[in-house]
Amino acid sequence: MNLIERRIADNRAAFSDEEESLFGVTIEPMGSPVLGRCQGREVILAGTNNYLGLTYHPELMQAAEAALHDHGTGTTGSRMANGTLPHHVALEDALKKFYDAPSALAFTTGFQANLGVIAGLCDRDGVLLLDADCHASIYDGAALSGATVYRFRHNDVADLERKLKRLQDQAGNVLVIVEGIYSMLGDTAPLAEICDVVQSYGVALMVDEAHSFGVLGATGRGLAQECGVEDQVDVVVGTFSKSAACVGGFCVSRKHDFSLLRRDMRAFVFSASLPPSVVATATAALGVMAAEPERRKNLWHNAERLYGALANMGLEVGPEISPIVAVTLNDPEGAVTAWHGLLDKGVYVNLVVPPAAPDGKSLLRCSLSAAHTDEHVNQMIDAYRSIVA
Amino acid sequence: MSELAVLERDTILRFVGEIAPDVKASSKDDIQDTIGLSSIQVLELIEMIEDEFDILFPLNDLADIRTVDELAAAVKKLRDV
Ligand SMILES: Cc1ncc(COP(=O)(O)O)c(C=O)c1O
Repeated sequence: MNLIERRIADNRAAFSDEEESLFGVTIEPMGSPVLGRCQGREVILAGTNNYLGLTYHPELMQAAEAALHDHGTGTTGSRMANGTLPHHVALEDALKKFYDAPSALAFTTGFQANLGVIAGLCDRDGVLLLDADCHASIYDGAALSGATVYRFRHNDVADLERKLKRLQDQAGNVLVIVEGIYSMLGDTAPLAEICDVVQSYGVALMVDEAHSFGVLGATGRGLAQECGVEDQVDVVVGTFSKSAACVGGFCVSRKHDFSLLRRDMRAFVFSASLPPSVVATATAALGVMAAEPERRKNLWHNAERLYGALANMGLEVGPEISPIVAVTLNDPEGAVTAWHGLLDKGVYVNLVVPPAAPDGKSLLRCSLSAAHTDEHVNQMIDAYRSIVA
Repeated sequence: MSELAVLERDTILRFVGEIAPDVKASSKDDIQDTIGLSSIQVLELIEMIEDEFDILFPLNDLADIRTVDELAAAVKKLRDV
């Protein structure tokens, strides 16, 4: 057996047919951000990260169509070569305006934004201090950078401080990374306290707002805006793949000329840029986020209802109300059964089993959308009630 | 050096016993392949070690560590500096 054959055999042995078949579940779109067809039946989509429900918004679709029609299907090049169209510059200008910040860069995915920014900022002399629950792309960016990587306990400011204290003599090389909303349990970082500690040790701070962009803050800029600490965050990374309803990543910084660092961001330099239609969609999404703040309000209304109802049923939900409502279950088989039970009741959620979920536990992870109606949320609540009973 | 890291080895074996109570682990065992800790449990073990010995353990070092003895030696080295 060669390497590839052996790896395939290992995986075949490690995963049951059940798991393999779940991986192949497809969702057929049905002309709505929150309805789809899954395993032959119509379902409410409650696990899509489509927080603002913009995937069928007429302004986004028209922008995409116009750009596709006028400028073609792809850029066929990296941002550093032929891949910078006026559209990309316009998107970065729109980001600067949205964030009221002097520097912005658009990447092809959020994953690449993390690889590019982290490995661009840190080299072998760098020291990274990551929240334990940071996303895979942050860990991969950290590994790619060659920096020394430490983690602190999830959302534990005392542990962060203890570690920063030990790293005092290297403070000039330290980058702390946290997220706005953590994707599995939907909890937020204690960002004001984190900023206090980070400031007192004089180290740099990056916040990945992937799940909080469009969701938190007076104008949807994320947790830093919500906590009033935007001036203390050195760089924000985000994605257009959730609230902005398309695909792509970005970073924004209050430091002038932060964008000069793009030369060191290999994920920016050596990958083709986003196609014009997607860039136009993302730009339009920024406009809609600003123009339709009621979407954020509706999202939180839905979050409060579902979170409250599931907590009242005695289900183990996350530590705070959030558009991500995750129920922790102790055994993976029970979780698979429950997931099928919800699907039978017409509700699609994400099933997360070990090792993706910690401590051998499993999660039924809901992400709500502004496009869910009260009736949709009622149906979700009823579906959960049926699996509890 | 690994023979000298007795305190570190015994402490790590105790922690492994707390994380995986059903396994009879020896210090020569491969932490993941033989003892069977998941990558997340390995990180949990590192947290316990960091607290116990008041050190910072770089995740980079994990790439070269297979056995409890190797981990104990790495921890001892971090404590000695
Ligand atoms: C915290 C976090 N960062 C980055 C990403 C990657 O974003 P993208 O889907 O744009 O690659 C995700 C999404 O999966 C995420 O949850």
